[in-house]
Amino acid sequence: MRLEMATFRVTQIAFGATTALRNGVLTIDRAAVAAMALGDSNLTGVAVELAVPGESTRIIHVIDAIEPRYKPAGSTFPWFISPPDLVGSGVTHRLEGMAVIAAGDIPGAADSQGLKEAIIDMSGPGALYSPFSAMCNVVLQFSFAPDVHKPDATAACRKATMRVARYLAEATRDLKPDAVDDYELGKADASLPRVVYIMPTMSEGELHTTFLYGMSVTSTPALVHPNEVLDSALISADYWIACHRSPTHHYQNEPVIRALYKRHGKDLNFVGVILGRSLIPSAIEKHRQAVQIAKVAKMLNAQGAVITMSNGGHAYADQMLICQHVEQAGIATVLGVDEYSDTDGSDFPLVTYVPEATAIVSVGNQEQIIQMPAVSRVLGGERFLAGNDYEVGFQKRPEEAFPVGLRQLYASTCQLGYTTHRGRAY
Amino acid sequence: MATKLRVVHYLNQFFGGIGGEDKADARPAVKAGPVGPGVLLQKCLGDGAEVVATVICGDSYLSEHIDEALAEVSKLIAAQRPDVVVAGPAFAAGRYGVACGAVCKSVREQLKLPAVTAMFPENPGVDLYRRHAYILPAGNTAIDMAGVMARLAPFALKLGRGEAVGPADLEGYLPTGMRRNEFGARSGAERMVEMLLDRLHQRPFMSEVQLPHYDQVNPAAALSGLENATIALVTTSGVVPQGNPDRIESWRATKWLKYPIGHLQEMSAAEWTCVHGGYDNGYIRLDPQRAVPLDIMRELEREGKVGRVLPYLYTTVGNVQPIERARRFGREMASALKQDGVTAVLFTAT
Amino acid sequence: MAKEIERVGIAVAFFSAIPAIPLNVGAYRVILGKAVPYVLGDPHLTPDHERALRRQQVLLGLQSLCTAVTTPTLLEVQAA
Repeated sequence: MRLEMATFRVTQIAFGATTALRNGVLTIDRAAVAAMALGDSNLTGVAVELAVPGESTRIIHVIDAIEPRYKPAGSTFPWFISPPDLVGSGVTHRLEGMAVIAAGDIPGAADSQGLKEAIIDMSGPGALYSPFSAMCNVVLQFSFAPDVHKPDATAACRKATMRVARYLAEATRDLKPDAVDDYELGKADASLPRVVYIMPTMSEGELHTTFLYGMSVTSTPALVHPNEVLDSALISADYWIACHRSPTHHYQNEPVIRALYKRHGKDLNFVGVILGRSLIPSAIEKHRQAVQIAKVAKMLNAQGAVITMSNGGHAYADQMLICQHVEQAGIATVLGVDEYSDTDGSDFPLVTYVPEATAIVSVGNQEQIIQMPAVSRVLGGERFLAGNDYEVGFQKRPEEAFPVGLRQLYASTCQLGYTTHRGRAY
Repeated sequence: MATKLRVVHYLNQFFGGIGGEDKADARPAVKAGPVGPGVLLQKCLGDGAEVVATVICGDSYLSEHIDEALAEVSKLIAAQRPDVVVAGPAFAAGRYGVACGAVCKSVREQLKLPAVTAMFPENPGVDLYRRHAYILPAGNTAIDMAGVMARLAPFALKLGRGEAVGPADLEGYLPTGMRRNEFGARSGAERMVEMLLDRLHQRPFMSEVQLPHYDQVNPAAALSGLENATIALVTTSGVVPQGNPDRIESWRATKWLKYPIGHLQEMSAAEWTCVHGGYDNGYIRLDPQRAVPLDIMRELEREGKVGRVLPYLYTTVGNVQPIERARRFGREMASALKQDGVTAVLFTAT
Repeated sequence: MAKEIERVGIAVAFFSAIPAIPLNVGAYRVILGKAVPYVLGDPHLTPDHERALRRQQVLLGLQSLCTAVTTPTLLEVQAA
């Protein structure tokens, strides 16, 4: 499988008469974008806005962030808006430096099992914690029908966002890319250590999940080619705690996959990706998955494994059990995980652990408090989502200044390790 | 020209040249200048600092009279007007390590002076004092003396000069337990791949989160029978009386409580609820016995299979509980259970 | 927390749906629960069956209290 990723850099976005990309400036036909959301009875409308770096803009109720992608031949966003053909080969166009951000308040969604608040600040101290603050974002603020079934609402919003993402990237159809990267797992010397990437991703209940070609991930591990992840086969539908959601954008640009690819054939042999599930409800099923994942890794003759995770709660136990079984199968592991070190950094960072977890990379303490400033503009909604416990800051209006935990900042401690944010021992 | 820093060195009776185990009860005393390994410390400090005095105390005396001993030691140290205090190194000697840690803590808190010590990472002094003093890792015997002093000296100079101390992995001290967020040069993903390559090539690496060395507790002896046993029900599932009268928090709970259950045959949903915020607590709210099995225990009491159930439920919320607080709750509960004459415990967690 | 109770010589039967946690931090008698939201019993059973399961789990715990152990031990109710 050989994927030719053609990158087109976007440095500015603006509304214009037509959608076109010239010299890094993407002009966007606002009406055309809004029209992509029509026709679905779960959506009563969409407001299309732009949010660019340095603005005093706060985006709330973030649902997902998707990088614009377009495949001239083949499925863009397989299953959802194109046939579920195999992706990960051929040419894919991507717009670099921008994202389509879906935001909105789904009625009745803010109960304990529903959507959690998620914030992106485009400037100020909060902006440091989001890679989207350095990007040009098209923000789709969705309105939903009043008694909408939540999974239907998120599905409608997801498809509309994908249509927009593809539409924008299609502006590059006849253009020459700024860069082309080839992703191919070519032959690697037999002496190089064989490394597998294990990605348990969350799935819980009807509302929150991760999709592989539109299938919710299960605790039967799925062997996947890294190119499939890079080519939009893996889609995030995690609406839980903001800090450790993995946005679809971060799957499309999966950082561990890219880091392993950089070393493939040089100091390691990247042998594949094993997808699993986290937030498995019972101990016995957690155990079963860990056994199966270790088995697949062993069948690949892996000698080393990177194990990340998404979300939190007992998802940490899923990751640790996988680590334990993989280590016991003789495979060296490194984990990526975020911390619960309390607001002052004084608590032991891990929710749980196994003695085999001797190599851990931290993406930071989600409990640090950030003082968010007042802003001129708020996109995504008018009041913070109710039912977001523990946060005193959410008593305020979103345009005001308030203190908030990193927990509520979108993807600020994403455990794929996309940013350089980390916790350090002092 | 920077003024020479004044250093006081703390040693036990052995390294202080007073004697061996026979002199472990030696009371604190002070000698001018460096003593024993302090001579090497002075050499490593060079012109930057002077070991103006050495305070020596027997390990037994310090551990058996800790408050008075520390007060005496602090007084002797303070009289020397030091800029920084160096204790040990203690290597693997447990009482000495604990003494060095205690002295450093006392120096920092009472005298408001910086202090540093060094010991083998598994010395019990580390777990007790890592939060209260800078502890550099050392080998487990004095064979490592030269190596440790070569690191202790520059660290002491840094502290004495009031320079900022960076992260543990850069500065070479054992993590104190404090975590700070920062941005760096490499992404988390890149660091994961590099750490894995280090492991695969058997290169030394440092985990960004170190697992604790927990002390081992011996298993409590088995009961010879249950007919005369008093069994207590203890839970971290967050089961509390309806209305949560004592306002236990649903995470990072600041208290644990005892509620009377002696008059009850079961835990009914009308009288009890669940406030744990870390999972879907609906099932337990519908039937609290899914966390507190009072119904079964009453059956077993009636059948004579257990002596009696303690008429109090011990309860708290075990959701994201800071480790030190969890330990404290455990100690308090243990003490209360002992006073209540409890023979054994059924402990339910979520 | 349970470890501190064990430390003073009071035997603890520890019921958990994620046994890896207590087993790793020094609990010696661990009884497996079915799921985090219901460590004893199972709401998917009829009330009588659920109570029977809970009784089996409790008896297993009580039995473990009367059994000498030297290493962390996991016990589970065997399916009929």
